[in-house]
Amino acid sequence: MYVCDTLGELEALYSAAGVAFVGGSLVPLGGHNLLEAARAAGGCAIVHGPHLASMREAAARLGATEPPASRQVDGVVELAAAVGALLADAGLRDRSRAAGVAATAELERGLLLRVWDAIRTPLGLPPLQTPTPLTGVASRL
Amino acid sequence: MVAKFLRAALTRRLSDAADLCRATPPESTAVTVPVKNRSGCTSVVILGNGAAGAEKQAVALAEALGLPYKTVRLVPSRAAMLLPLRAQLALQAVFGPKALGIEVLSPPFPLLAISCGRASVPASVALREGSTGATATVHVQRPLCDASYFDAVVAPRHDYRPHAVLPPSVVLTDGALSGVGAAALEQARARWETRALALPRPRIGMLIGGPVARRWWQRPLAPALDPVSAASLVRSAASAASASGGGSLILSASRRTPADATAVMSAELETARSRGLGVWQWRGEEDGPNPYLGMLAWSDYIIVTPDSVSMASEAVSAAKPVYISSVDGCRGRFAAFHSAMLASGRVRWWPGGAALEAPELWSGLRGGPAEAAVAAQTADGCAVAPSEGDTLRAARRVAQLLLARAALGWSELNPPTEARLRAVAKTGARRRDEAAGARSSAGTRRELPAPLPLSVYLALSEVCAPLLAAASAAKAGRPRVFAQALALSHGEAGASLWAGGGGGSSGGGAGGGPPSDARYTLWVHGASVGETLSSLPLVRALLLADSSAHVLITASTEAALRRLALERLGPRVVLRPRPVDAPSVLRRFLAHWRPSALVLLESELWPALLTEAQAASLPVALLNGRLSPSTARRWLSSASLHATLAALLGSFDVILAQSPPMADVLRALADDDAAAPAWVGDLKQLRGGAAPTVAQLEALRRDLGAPRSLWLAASTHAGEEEAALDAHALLRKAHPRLLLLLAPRHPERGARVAALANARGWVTAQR
Repeated sequence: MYVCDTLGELEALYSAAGVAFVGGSLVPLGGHNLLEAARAAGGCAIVHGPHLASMREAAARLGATEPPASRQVDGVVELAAAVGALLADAGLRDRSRAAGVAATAELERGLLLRVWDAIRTPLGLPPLQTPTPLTGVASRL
Repeated sequence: MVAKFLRAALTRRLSDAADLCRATPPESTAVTVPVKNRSGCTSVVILGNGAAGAEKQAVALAEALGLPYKTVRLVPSRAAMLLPLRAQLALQAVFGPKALGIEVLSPPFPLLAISCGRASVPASVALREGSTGATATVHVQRPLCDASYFDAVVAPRHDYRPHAVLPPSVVLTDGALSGVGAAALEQARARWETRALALPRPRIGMLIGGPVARRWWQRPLAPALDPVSAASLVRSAASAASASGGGSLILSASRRTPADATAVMSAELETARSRGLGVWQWRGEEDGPNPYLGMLAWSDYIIVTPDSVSMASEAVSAAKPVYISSVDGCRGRFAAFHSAMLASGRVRWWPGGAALEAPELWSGLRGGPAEAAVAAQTADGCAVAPSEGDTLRAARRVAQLLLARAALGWSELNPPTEARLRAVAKTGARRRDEAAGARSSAGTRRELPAPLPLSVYLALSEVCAPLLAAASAAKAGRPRVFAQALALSHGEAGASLWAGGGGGSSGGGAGGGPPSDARYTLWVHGASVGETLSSLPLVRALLLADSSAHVLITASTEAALRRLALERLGPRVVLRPRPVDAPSVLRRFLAHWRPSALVLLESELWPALLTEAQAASLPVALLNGRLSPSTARRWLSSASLHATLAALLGSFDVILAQSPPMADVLRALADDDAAAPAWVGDLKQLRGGAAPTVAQLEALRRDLGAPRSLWLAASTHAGEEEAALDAHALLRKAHPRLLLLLAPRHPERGARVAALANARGWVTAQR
């Protein structure tokens, strides 16, 4: 078992693991960023708890893909069952990861567009170019 | 002993709620049914004083909020009425509310208490304190004490001196609040159709008030309605109707109307009837139910006596041409109200006997010259009359306040209540949207002087600028930075403070300004690493959308600039430390960089920066806006802090909150004429920093001993690590070589998490 307490390595860890539980969601803290997991290079199949106040839209979209890019669980047994199913079936895991990458690209573009639309006129910004690469260096991977 | 004596003298009697039903027109929907919400308490309590005019406004506000309410009437003893309100409040502060005969019941407390009249003020204050903030209090009309005793005050503009500096918790209205909305009028129109259709047009409605209750030693605020002027009013209306070739007279007297005036007017109406005019009069209960709203709905013109602000407001809400019968002899708040209404063109002076004027002459009426203004105020395509606009605006501010208080954990809203408040918070035209409308919004808060704390801050920061620069440099612990920060505070704004900060983004170079070909320069400022990284998706999008755009990113910490330097942002991005927040420094900084727009992230509300940006007409946006709950509570509950924050928020052109609850909080904190805080999403969910490189990923996989099967529990908190470890134990049965990577949200908890795993018999390694 590894305890990873280094900063700024999370995305690489998601990428390397391919299956991850995202915290802040089994305890009522609103959930941490599901998109960060889903967009990791190669994707990451997500398991999360029920408390996702700040991630509702993302959880709904990621949970609605086929196969689901994210799965909601409550409690230890369900957590183990969901992770176990993903570990046992490499095909399912890979399809979940790919579905998450696709859904995330769309979610991110939607969010950036909404922010841009809200500030564009008051700040006198130019129209947004589409498609917008959101991923910086990762687009080369 | 003293308390007992006071209690005997000052006790308020609670009278039956049924009184209110008698006090309000039977037609109004103000029948008070104590409905309970799910948590078992009535949502809204109206603390009334028995004066119908005031209570009607409180009821109008409660009804506009659409929450279940009940009315409690407080009838103070004579002794309590003799003692000034401030003295009563002082006594209450010393001896407790029981000294005034007020007992605050145990929870659950109502969400909101709407008080009106001075008799209700001590009870409202006691409830606010006794519920430790669970109950928000709103006072209708100007209280005879400081506005800070309440969470909000809804009062007409004419109750205050022109250009008075008011705390943001005071919601100013043009007239009295009224429940006379489009829906109520439509209902009354249907109900009284048969009666009204028998009357030939034009139908001239007359709303007659009466002497304004004041102490005997005070001069009345409006002239008393004597029989002579009453008779001449009816006679002139009759001749105006005759001049239009016949018509009808509609007359509604109030309980205050003197009996002799009523008798004379009845006689005049009989004369008019004999001359062939239609007549519809209501003298009192003996004539059946009060058709007041029906009269408003069916009149073509309305004449109001000058002694009632609320009847004039209601007539205006009914979207009819409104005349004031005589404005001579009015003083104080009445005179102010009339002159404002006459100046707005929404009300005209009754010329007496002359022909009726075409409705087109009234501004703010459909079909009139200011139809565009009406259209500007409409919500969902239906015209909103000014007074209804007042009620909706007041209701919206109160709904925003309640939502913010719930977001901050002061009170809890059940889902139907929250849905209702959200709907109300969206209705009505905002002052800012109305600015171009016909009604002059003279004296809006933006033109008012800066709140005192803000002025003091600006003056102090100017004096202390060199010290502040020295302090921030000392914190960085580098003498060279110290020297440069000092230089910065003296105007060499372009000095590059951190040599490494340039990296691939040296931009204008040391000491340089923006390149001359920069048509658009966006200045982005964030406190530290997380904030500035979260802005990078926008920065990259801008660089891509406009090939000549430049971006200046400033941060308050050196760590942020070091991190950003690793981001390969290209030569069009310049990284700089935040300039010291002092007016003269910022003026030089702005003159040097000439930004086209400024984006501030999260809680970066620097007063001097915002003031200077506004002075330079620089558009400013707050993105991912947030305040810590404790800060927000403090600012919301202190009048001067609230005013300061409202002034700061007022200098933004757009405000986007980080989360929906934070949008609720910012909406309640911002003034009505500021940009409306909204929520469209959390920028931090986008990828800020660069993705890990292939080499980094390979190295990590090697370290982990891939291709071993593994899973990750990421961003975990206390409680979740235990769950992950237990789940891992279950998983190991099917996958004996499975590896768990446990990445707690806060790295400083790493050692504790490792100990937790060791205690369960796992071999751990930390990386």
